[in-house]
Amino acid sequence: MTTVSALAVDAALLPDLGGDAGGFVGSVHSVFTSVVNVSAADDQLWSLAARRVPAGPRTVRLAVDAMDDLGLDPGTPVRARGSLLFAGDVVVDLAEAAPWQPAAIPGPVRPDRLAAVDAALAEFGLAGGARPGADPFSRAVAARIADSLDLIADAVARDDAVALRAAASALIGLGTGLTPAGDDVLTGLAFTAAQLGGPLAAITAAVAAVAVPGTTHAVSLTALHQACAGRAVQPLVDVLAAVCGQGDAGRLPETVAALVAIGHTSGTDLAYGLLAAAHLSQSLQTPTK
Amino acid sequence: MPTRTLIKNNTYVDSVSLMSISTKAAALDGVVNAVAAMATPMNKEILTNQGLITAEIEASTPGDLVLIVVTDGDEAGADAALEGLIGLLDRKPTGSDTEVTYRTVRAAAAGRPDANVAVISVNGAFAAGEAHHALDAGLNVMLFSDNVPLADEIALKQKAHEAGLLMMGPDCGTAIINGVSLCFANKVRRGRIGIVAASGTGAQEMSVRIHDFTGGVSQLLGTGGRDLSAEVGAIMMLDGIDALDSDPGTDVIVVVSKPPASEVAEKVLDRLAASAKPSVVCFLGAGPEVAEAAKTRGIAFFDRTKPAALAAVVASGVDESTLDLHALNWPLIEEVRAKLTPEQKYIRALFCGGTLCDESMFLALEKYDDVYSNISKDPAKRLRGTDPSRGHTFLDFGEDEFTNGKPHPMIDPSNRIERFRTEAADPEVGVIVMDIVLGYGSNPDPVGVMLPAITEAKANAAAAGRHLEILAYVLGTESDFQGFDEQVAKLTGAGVTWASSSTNTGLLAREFVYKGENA
Repeated sequence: MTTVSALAVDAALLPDLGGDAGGFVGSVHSVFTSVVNVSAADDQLWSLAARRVPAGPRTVRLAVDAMDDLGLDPGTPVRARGSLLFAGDVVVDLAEAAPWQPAAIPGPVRPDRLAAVDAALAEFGLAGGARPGADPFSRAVAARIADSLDLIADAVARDDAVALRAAASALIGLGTGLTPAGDDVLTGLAFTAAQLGGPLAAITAAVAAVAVPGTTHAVSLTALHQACAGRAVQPLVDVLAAVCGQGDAGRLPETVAALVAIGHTSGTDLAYGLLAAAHLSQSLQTPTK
Repeated sequence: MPTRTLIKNNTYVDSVSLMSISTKAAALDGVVNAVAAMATPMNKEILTNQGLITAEIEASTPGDLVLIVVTDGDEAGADAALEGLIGLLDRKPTGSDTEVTYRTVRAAAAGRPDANVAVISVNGAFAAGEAHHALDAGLNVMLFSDNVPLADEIALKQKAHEAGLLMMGPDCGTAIINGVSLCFANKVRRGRIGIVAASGTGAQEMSVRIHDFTGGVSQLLGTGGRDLSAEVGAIMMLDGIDALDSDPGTDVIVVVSKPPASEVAEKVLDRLAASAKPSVVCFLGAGPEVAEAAKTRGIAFFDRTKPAALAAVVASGVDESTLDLHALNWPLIEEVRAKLTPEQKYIRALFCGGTLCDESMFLALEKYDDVYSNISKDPAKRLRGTDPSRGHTFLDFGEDEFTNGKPHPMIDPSNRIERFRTEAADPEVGVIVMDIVLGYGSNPDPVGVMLPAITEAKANAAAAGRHLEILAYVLGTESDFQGFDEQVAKLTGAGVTWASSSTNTGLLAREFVYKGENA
């Protein structure tokens, strides 16, 4: 048996893990270098993650450097009892874990900050997802993402829920990599829409409607569902907070770079979604002649 | 095109590993396209549009991983590519009892107290922090990363200068320290000529030309491309010259750079003039005022790499009369001109090396006005990498617009191959120019990965009744692991003209397409 301490846990996940009576029962879904996903009966995943993984929804960060050498494999039973999680030969102690509970981000978007984040993403963003790469598949994906974001903006402006849903459904499950680029863009978009609200609420509703089993896999679906509830990984939260005027403007490049560092192009694609929603919010705030 | 598909049911591989597998698969023999994606309905739709869908893919679900290789050879080649793909997917990270992975520079410095150089290659946003940690630990730094803010570069170089350490970079791709090559470098003879270079392939070209002229390199120090800007003020270049001046193994000092800021050029020239050792300056594209400033200080000045290398070798004691100087081959030029139609009048140059691109471009500019490039300093003559070619076009595929999210073209040639096919189909093209960079860090068979496209383009041009002239320069030595002679033989076997130096490449290209009265 190996006992490891949890450093932090999503406060909203704790009720799902349960207490002494009727605690969580599930199994390992997938194993990566830094993350082990756990599935429950409702197909929603939650994660055990190494210390360097940023805090986020449904995540328990552990005091370990890597997850793929803990002897956990897909199918390994996982259960919870009291403040302990049992996964194979690993026992996770949640007793000292700090609860992660990000504050809501008050809008509106600040144009100067938005321009600065645009510039930082242009500098640090990576090609291969929303930004076209060299191969034909990647170019087709990037073109469809660009077209769909235009259609989403147009549908929101016209208050056309049907067109909005069609445009969102063209993105889900689209692209290379583990979490397809289209899913990451939608996650950034839905999270920002949920936080800023107003006319963007229609985006959240559309994404929630199209993010259903069969369109993409469980890892993406979990992130999408959380985004629709206004919840996302801490670097995405930080960038949106910066766009809305919080924090030191001088640290914007580092904040964007921390987001871009997620996955291969996932961070860049999350940022694209966030910026698309933020620009839309800004344009809807601006009176026109 | 023969295509093979591999589906791994309910398989989740992290995106970074998938990207690595996809990139390596694209570099397998004969592979022209590789896809690694989850089998979602939207991805199936794209694959259908691209003619890559199969019944097996149709039947798969979003939790399944789809890997596809598209090849341009025969069915056996496609089978071999699939085997290669399976090998990549099954490959586990290798290690040994003597290898230790450190998660931070500070930990590595503490664990390896005998180390004195840190090579750093991380995202530019984090690179400065890591470089500060290395300098604070007393390590010289080679910073491969680009996109490092200018203010950070200045702070790092000032800190290194005050600590008596070398701060090579950011964006430093080449160095040879005490005979050990770092990052992209060629296997050259050790000798008594020291090089400080603000350009990566410029440094490689200088070291290789010195080797070819029977000379040898004592040290090759990189500075990063912005070091000779007015803002940085050549902090590392001056420290590098100091280091070579006090190095008992160095007799001659060579400086290589694109055009420096004029006040910075003066500082560099003053420092070289203060040394008792002979020095050679090669500032590509520099104007006559810089040449004059060097001349007044008694420093040998050149704006081309080949004569600069020759001067350095001669200064180190080699008898010029014993050397093969690779004079420009005028009979070859006449032969090529005779094959081209009047409409075939443009150079289309597709380079991996920025300095090699610059040198050929500057030589073309001496003769033509309609020269366009993605690295042109003149906004009116600047193209984006995705723009169609105009007039004489010179593209550097090592620029950020091509490398963002992809390995350098010296490793992954896919961007250049795609552009090559486009240029080869243009009836106004008189010559396509390419560099083939050998050495540590480069593709193991850089000519081999280009050959299918070259063969196809030559055949298409012949079918259309026109000659397609392809001029290639192989930057390397007979000791580079790719095999210099083998690479050249592959080129000449495919009907490609081979140039002997970067300088000759630019001269040959501009003369091949010259249509003037004396042509």
